[in-house]
Amino acid sequence: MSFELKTIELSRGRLSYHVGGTGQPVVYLHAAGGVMLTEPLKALTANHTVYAPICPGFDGTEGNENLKTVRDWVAMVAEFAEKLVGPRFDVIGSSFGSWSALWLAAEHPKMVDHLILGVPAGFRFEGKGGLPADPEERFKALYAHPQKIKSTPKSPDVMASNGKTYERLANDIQVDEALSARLPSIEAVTLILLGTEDKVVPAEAGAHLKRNIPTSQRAFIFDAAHSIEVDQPERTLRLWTDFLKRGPGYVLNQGPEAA
Amino acid sequence: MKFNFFHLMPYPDYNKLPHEWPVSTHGIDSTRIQALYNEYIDEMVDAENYGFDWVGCNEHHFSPYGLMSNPNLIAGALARQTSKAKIAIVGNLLPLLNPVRVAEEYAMIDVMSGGRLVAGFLRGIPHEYIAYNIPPSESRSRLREATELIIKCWTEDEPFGWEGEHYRFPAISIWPKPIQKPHPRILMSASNAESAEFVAKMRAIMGITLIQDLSIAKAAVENFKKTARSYGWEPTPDDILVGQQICIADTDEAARHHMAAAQTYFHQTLMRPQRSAQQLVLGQSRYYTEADAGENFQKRLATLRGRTVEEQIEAGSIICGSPRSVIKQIKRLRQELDCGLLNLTIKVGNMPGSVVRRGMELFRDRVAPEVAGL
Repeated sequence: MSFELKTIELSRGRLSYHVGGTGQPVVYLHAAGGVMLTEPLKALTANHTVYAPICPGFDGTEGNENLKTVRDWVAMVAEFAEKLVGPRFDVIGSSFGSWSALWLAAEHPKMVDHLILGVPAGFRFEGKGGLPADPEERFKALYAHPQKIKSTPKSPDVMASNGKTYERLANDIQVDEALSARLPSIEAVTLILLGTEDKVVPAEAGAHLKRNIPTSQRAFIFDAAHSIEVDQPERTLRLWTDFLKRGPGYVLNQGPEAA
Repeated sequence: MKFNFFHLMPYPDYNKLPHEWPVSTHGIDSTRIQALYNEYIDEMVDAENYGFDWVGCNEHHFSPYGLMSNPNLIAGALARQTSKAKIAIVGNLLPLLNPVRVAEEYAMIDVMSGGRLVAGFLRGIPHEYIAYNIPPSESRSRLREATELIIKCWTEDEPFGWEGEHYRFPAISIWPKPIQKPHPRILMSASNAESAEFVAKMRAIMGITLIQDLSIAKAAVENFKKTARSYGWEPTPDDILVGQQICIADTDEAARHHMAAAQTYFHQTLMRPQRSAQQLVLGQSRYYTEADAGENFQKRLATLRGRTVEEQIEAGSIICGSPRSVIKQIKRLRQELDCGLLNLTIKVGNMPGSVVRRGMELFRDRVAPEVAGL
C-alpha cells in the first residue's frame, strides 16, 4: 500500500506527515536522515495505519524555530497524535526517532501502547558510537548491504538541512541524562532492536535501555548495520509485526500452525 | 612454544574394513569403550604433568574414528581432574549444533576449570553434515552466524534476542558467563583464504592441519597474517596453531615403525568409511564455494595417505623419531610457519597405549625442555 503526503496545522505550527494503510495505528518517528519509506514500513501498512510525521526542517519542509529540543518535537508529535491518530497507538522509532519515541512514552504514558526502539540514539556512553563525519565512512556505518537501498537518494540540500535540524534538536547531547532518569517510569511494553554490525549505536545503549525500562525486550538483528530496515527488511518486519501483535508474548514459539 | 596434547579418542580394535559411513556398531562391546574412555582420559589428565600446556579434544560422529560425539563431556571431566593445562576443545562443530547450547556448555567448562577454556569453533569435515542433517552448503554462513551469536551470549549481561538467517532466539541470558573476559580465546581453522577472512575478523587463533607441503602451509599462514593486518591487528606465534600426528620413541627406527603401523590402521580402517560420504557431500553441495577447494581437500588426504613415514616427515606433515629428531622437526615447523602452538596427536589410530605413554615420558624429559622456550 502506498503512502500519501499530507499536512496539518497544529498550535506549534504546520506539520507534514506520510500516512498509509489501515488497521491499528502506528506512529513512526524518523531518524536523523529524515523519513525513509522502507520496505518493512510499506509492508506494515497491510495491517496498520502508519503515520510518519516529518519533523519541521527535515525532508525539505519548512523549519520551525520554536522546536529547540527533542522534547519540543515530541510535544508536537503528541498534539498531532491527539488530533489525528487517536488516544492510544503503537510507536516505532528509528535512531533519533527512537530517542523521540522514548520521550513520547515518558511524557505521554497513556498514549503509547507498544513501543519499538530501532537502533536508539541518545545514549552514547563514553562517547562511543555516533556517525562518522567523512561521507564515505558515514555511508559504511549506515549500511552493511547498501545494494538493498530501494529509495531515491535525497538531494544534498535536503540532507544538509536534515543534518542541521538534527544538530539543533540533539544539542550535542551524548547521553540524555534527563531521559535516562525517566526510563524506569515508562509503562509501554518495549522492544529494543539493534544491528550486530552497528557502530553508530553501540550495544551498551541497548543494554542500558533494557536494564532500565521495566517491561522491555531487546533483540539483535544479525548482519545489519545502523539501517536495520534497509539491511535486513524481512527480519525487521518479522520482529515488528510479531511484537505489535503479541507484545512480550512474542518470545513464545507458537509453531507453524500459528503463522 | 606451547603444546596441546590432542586426543581423537579412536576406537582401536575394529577388525574389519568398514565399507560405509555411518559405521555399524554390530559386535562392538560398549564396556570395552568404557575402558577406553578411562585410558584416554587418564592420558589427557596426566599430560599436564608431561610438559603439555593444553589438553585437547574434538567432535566426530558415527564411526570408530573418534569416540567423542560431544567433547564437552570429556572437557567437563578434564576441568575437574586437571589444574594447570588449558582445556582446548578443537572444537565444537558449530554449524551442526545449537549455538546457545554451545555457549552455555563452553561457559560452564570455562567456569569449572577456573578460566582455562580455549574455545574451538570449527566447521567440521564434510560428511558430518549428513550426521545431523544440516545442509553442507550452509556450513560457512552457519559458522559465521553461530560464532557471532555465541560471543554475544558470553558478553551481553542483559537478556537479548537474536534474529538471524539460521538462528532465531527471542530471549537469551546464559548462566554462568565465562570467567575469562571479555571471553575465552577462540580457535578456528584457516586453511584457505575463504576461512582466513573470517578468522582474522574474529581475531581468533588460526589452526592449520593436514599439511602436505610446508610451502603451502606457509602461504596459508602468510595469507592469514595479511588478512589480519587488513583488520587492524598483527598475529603473533601465539595466534598460529599447527596440527600434527606425532610419535616419539627411543630411536628413529622404533618411532617410524610404530607410526607406520598406526597410520595403516588410521587410513585403512578409521578414515576409510568417510571417503565415499565426503565425496557425496563435496560433489553435491557447495561445502566449498571455491571451485577447486573440495578437490584439493580430497587430493590432500590422498597425498598424505600415499606417502611413507619418511616422506611425511620430510614434507612437514608429521613429527616422528627419537627425541633428538623430534626437536629438530619442531624447530623447523617453528621457523617455517612462525607457529607458537602445536596440536599434537600422540594416539594415532591404534598406537599401543605403552607407546603413547613412552612418547609422553620422552616429551617431558627430553623434548619439552629443548623446545618450550622457542
